[in-house]
Amino acid sequence: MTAECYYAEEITAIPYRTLRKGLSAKVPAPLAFALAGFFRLRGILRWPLRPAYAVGGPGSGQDVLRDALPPRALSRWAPIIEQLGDLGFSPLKYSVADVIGEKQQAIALFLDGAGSTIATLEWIRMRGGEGIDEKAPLEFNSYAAADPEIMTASVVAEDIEFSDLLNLEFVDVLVLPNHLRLKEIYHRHLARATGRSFYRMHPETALKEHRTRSERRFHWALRQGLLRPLTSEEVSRVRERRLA
Amino acid sequence: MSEPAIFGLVRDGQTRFYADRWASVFLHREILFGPDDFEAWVTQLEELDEWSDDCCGGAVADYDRKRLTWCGEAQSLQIPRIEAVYQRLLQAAWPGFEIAFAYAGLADLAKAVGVDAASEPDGEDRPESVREAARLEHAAAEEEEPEDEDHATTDEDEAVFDDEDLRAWVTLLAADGAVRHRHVDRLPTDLLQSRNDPLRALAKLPPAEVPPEAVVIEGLWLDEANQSIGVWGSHALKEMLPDIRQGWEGWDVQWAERGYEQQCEVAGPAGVPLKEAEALAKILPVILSTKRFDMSTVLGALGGGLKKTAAKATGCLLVVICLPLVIFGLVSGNWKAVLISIAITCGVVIVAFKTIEHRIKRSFMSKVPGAGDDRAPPAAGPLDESTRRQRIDHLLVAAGLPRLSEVEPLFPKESELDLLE
Repeated sequence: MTAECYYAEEITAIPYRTLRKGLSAKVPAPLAFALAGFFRLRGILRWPLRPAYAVGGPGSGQDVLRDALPPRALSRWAPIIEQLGDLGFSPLKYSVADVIGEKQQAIALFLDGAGSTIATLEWIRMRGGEGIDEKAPLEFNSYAAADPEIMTASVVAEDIEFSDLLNLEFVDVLVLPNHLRLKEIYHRHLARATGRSFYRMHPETALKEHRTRSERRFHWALRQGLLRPLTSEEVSRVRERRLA
Repeated sequence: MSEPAIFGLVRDGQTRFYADRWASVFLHREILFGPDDFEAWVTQLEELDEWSDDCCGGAVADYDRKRLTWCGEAQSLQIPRIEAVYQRLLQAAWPGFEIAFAYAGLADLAKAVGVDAASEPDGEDRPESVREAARLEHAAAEEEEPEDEDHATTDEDEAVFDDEDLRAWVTLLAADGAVRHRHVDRLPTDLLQSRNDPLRALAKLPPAEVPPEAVVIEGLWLDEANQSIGVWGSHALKEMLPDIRQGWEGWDVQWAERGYEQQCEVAGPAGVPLKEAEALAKILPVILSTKRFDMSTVLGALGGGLKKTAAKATGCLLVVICLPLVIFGLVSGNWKAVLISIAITCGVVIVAFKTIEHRIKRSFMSKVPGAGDDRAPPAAGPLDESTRRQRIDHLLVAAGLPRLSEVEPLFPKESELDLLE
């Protein structure tokens, strides 16, 4: 499926403090200070960066069988899928995101035995500061009739500083470093959900609910300016860029 | 400190022996330019009266029986795919010759040259236990601890393999369908011989990714439901197959001819296989180079780092010395005197730096055996860059492998040659 509209992450919309903290994990502090100021200034002047990649909107990805996923994704996910299996999670679906430009992305959804926690496992391959970067972030999500949703994420340590961005009024977010065992992260997630009544879902219901909630988060990011729709000229330009 | 290699040349029934203190490091390069260039290079080395076992590797070229036997330890050739590509190149370089790798080390080389060697066949160095092979710190203490079911999930030890580290890849296909991948340095003997409940020990190791073929030297999978085992890797591992079958009694143990590819098929993900051009890119930078590895190289690399630091320190010292002169210039306005003083100071410091550098170099060269020995020829084959490239390109075509122009863009940013820079 090809999306009609593509969206780019807009780094210039990130608050200065978050940007500086996030960049400090990757470059020397004085450079992070200057870069954060430069990006923020561009944001204030409404002068966005040229996107290197863009993603389609919610539901634009293509559902595929496990064997049709990129081999690199399955290789990278192997230890996480093993641990999810040990924790009683079953796969809900696999999909390849509709991405153009210098990025590849695949997503797998899993549901735990109780039906109350959905694990979203992503594989992202994109150009980074030192060549091509590959990441496999994971989220545990539990949904209830009343907000907030509970989300516990596992990301590489250097991305934790950007977690300040996830200041959603309808999601209670905790971001943990991915060197922790998955079992510990899952238990932390369950502990945070204790005392509240969360949906216990069948696979079909879980997929539907997950899609609704993902759309809500997507529109929040659009409102915040963290994502912006690309013009057709920008889409054509981004399409020409390829990841080696 | 040296990496000596011994060479035997057999021609017209006559055997001559040669040796070089450092040739073992790039031996795979020296033999790749074919029988004539090899002979021309070897005959420039130090000639010996008799065979010597005091070596790390070597090669025997029997021109009468058209047979090359060699043994060397290039790290990249431990990867089966790279080794296979190298073998094709080597065969193309020695047309009509039978090529044999001396798996038993010097004992095989001595046999090839018809000498009764005293040396024992080289054995394979394998870790004893699964935990030792997985680089877990508390290997010994762990085995003494009481059995504890919860321990499997509370173990805080983490196996540490950097992206580029060579490793063995183990896949456990549990009876319940779970697929567990594990990384170990080499397949340990307790796993190969089914001692100390290796399945449990493996399951307790940290979960791992499916590694790219470029870092896998050997692999093994255990299919619990079908009671079958697949194993692949080096020739030495293949030799152990009867022992593995004996240890895993009741299991169907098979040698996996297609190695990595076959393990991927069994394990699920397609992995990241190594293409021919990528495999060649791991070995060709060294083959194309004519740099010689010896003590001067090692000292040069160490000395280069030291020299950079010393140069920086001297630069700082110079600034500190010249700063008062600049201040004097600002106060007095006599810039002519200041500039002359700075020029003289710089000149004196540079001359002192060069004198000290020269003395240190001379002192090292005289005290370290093998340093400054520039009599040995740098490398076999053409030393001119373009001729060398042409020869390699022809060799690639003869072996049915991708051309140099396809391989060169894939050359790694860092290689074994970095030490020689």
